[in-house]
Amino acid sequence: MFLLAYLAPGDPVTVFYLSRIGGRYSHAELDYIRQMLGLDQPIHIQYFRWIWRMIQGDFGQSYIWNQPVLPLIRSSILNTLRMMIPAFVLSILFGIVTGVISAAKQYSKTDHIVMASSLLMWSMPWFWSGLMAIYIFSVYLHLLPTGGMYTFGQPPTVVDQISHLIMPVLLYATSGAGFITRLTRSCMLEVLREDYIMTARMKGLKERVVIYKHALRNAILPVVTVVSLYVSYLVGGAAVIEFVFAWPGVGRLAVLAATQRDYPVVLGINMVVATVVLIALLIADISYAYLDPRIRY
Amino acid sequence: MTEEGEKLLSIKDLKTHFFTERGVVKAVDGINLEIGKGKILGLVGESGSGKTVTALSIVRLVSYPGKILNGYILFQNENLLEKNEREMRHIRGNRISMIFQDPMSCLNPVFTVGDQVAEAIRLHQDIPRSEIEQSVVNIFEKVGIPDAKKRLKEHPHKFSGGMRQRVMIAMALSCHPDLLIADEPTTNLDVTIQLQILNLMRKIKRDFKTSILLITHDLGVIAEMADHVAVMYAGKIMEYSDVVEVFSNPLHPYTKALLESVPRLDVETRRLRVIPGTVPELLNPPDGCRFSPRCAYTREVCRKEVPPLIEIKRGHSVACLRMNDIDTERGDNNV
Amino acid sequence: MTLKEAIITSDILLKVRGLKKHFRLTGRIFKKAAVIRAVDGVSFDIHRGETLGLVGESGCGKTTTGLTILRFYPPTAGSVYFEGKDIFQTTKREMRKLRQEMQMIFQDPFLSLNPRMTVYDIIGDAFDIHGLARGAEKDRRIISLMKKVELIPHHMYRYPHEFSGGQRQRIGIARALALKPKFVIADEPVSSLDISVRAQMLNLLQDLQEEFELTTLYISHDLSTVKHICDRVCVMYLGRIIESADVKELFNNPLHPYTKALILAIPIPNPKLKRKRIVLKGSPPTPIDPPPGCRFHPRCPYTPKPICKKEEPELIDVGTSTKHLVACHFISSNLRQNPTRHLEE
Repeated sequence: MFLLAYLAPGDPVTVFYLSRIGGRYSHAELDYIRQMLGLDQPIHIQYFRWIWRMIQGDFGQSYIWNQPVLPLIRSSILNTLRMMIPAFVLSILFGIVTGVISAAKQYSKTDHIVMASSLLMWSMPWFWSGLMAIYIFSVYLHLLPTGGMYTFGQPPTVVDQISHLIMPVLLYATSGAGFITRLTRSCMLEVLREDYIMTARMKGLKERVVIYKHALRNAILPVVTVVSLYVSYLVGGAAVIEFVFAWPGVGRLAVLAATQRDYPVVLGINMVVATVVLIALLIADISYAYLDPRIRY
Repeated sequence: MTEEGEKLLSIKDLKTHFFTERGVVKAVDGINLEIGKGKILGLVGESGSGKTVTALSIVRLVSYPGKILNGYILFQNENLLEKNEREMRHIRGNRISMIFQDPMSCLNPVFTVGDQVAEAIRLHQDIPRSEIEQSVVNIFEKVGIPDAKKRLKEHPHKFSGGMRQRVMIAMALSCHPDLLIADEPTTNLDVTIQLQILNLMRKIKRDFKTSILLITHDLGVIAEMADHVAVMYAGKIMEYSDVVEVFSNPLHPYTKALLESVPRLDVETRRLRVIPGTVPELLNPPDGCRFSPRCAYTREVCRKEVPPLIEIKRGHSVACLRMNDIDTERGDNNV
Repeated sequence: MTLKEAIITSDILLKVRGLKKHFRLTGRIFKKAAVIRAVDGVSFDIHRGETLGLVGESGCGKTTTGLTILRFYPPTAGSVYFEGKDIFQTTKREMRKLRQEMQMIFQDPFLSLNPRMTVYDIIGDAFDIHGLARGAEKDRRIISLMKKVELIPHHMYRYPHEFSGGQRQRIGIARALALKPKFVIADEPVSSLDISVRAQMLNLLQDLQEEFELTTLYISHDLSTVKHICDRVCVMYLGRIIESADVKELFNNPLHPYTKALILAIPIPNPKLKRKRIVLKGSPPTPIDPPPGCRFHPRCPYTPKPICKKEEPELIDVGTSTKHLVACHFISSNLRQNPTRHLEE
């Protein structure tokens, strides 16, 4: 990762200072800035220095915003989570419920409708659907704000925040729900063919109990695994949605930092995001062990 | 079909077909069966003969695209085919229960065995919550699961195949059903374990007066367990009688051939009798008698007319058009 | 004397000595790695032309024995001599030649046939690998093999899924016989088939054994079939052979209490027959931690004596007219006394 950043054409000094300020710096001045930022050192020294600092909790200084990286990431990641957590919860709830329903009524009209719409939801690109949503709800209907977290110049009220949240969250959630619906449905269909489902029906249980208790508990296992991997996908997708809705989150930060060669920020985001994904996988593994009695650690 | 004793279940002209994309599969095509109170009816047949579909039709759990088209199933003088789903739920697991072929896969892996048995009791019996665990322990002890109190808190994967089948039997017996349907209950078990399970089923029949519909392809198991036997082939009943009669005086060519085609411990055979060909696909069953393409005694008439199941002696019915001729005639189409 | 009896000779084709195959279960943290003693010291001979049955319940190690003999698994200990040559000591090239002479027929004909290969390729593959026949000669041989196993030759460009279970097993047999092997291991070749098809397959096997003068190791849990098709039988329990004798001797005069119980446990299609049964309690222990002493003592219908719990009995010959090997400490006293536990009916 570090190497990749190093190999990217143009160094931060050139890109930032030349583009922003328009070439008014002499080479000596640029060299001085490089020296200050430690960019004149050979790559391996830069690398070990970075690792050593990171272990101590210091992710370095942002070249551009001139702030320590960590608080920068922290505030933006909180913004991202504020949008992502409700989106994630919504997509899981909605996805599982519709997935189960369409599996229980396989080949019915409901099933066909659910399958078609979930495919649509899942495959629509965010930059397009985001812009369409803004056009319809903000520009045309004037129902929702176009972007940002608050309305400028007004005291931040809960209603105001929520109205800003609605579009990005729903957009995020529908895409996730489409994916989870399809996944849940196929897992459910597999489980519904198992012998123990027949055993459960043979007990005289209601079909609802058979499906939501006996089948879902087993079908959820593979869903958990895939959803935990899906978290990293969501984080990647954050960049697009946050950009479209001007949401000051970590994805947007990453894009801004990357285009301006702000390596400490890019690398810091990478580390933090990787940690978040690892934690998600760990949570998935732990819940797996809880859900499946055959697995004990 | 008449016989002594009270009837628990009688099936008349049952037809269950599957409407697949490739065509109609006539899995069960007009069968008649009777099970006496406290008796074991053995239903023998090869794969694809419709034994399991018959069982599922009785409890009305035939899954899509299967449909029961015709007939009636009289259980304790009530026609099960006229019941609604709610009434059927009250019968399943309560008055009719079922155990399946593969004990490894028919218990839900994520719940404890105790919970799974308790669920059936809670559903059908009006006993206080606090006493349910005790009744699970009792039934576990009855079916021979040692250390019941501890084991009921374990999940199925900790049980051996034989023990899982005992759990299934415990679940099936938990509400004292009048009819137990056992679909190949010992096929996947080792012989010494099979013997344990068969003995257990005999004990159940004796102690609870439960009638059993025993579905199997193993003629040995049928001979040892059943009171009456129905031989099924390609969705039809070929022969029905009491067990001694079927084994010592089989009349249908299929029954005869089947009995001669298995190697036996008690009889010295150099060469087995062979039934040529394979079990027909029920998508396009043969015209006339379904066994006619493989039968050694087939004549033109067999390929045209479907033989009805006719009672030729008291309690012995056979579906064969040429039954009276074949005693005098050696099979000539046999390879 | 039948043709079958005539081709059995006193010449030993395959000699197995002290064969062991242990599997190591990967150890989990804080736990010692467990060892599955699937096959734990098995010795037997197969005479040329003979069919030897290897019977036992699931988990007794019969399939592992077969696969280890053919070196599908590396052996843990012991040796196998094929025509006097130790096959565990051969080079790769010698082993390839030996593979031509030793073949295997598997239990599940569907799993053992490559679904993307036609029957022609499945059977003909062996000719290509060993460079034995090409072109018209290869076609001729494939057709003749298909005829031998009673398949219709013009089905040779079909794929395995287009055949029924019985026909697939015929393809498996044709493939095994393509190289004219001297020795075949058949692992439950009929147990997945319907009864009416099973009889066809057993007859076919018998015919082919005579025609190809095959020596066969027939692995099965089904004693009725074993009695029908085998000349001699070895009974396995938890990785060990506990009894072996001629088929008639074994079924008429079983000596080991396990063999007795096993034979009595088989349901016989004769409702008039009433037999005294020995019902073995419990199920076989796992081969991870076999009981000390005689491995059968916890389930033995005769009350075990102290020696049964301490010393593992040797396989000794107690036969009078023919060889009859049994591994039981109390073989002579067992003969007199009646079983004391687990009796029914």
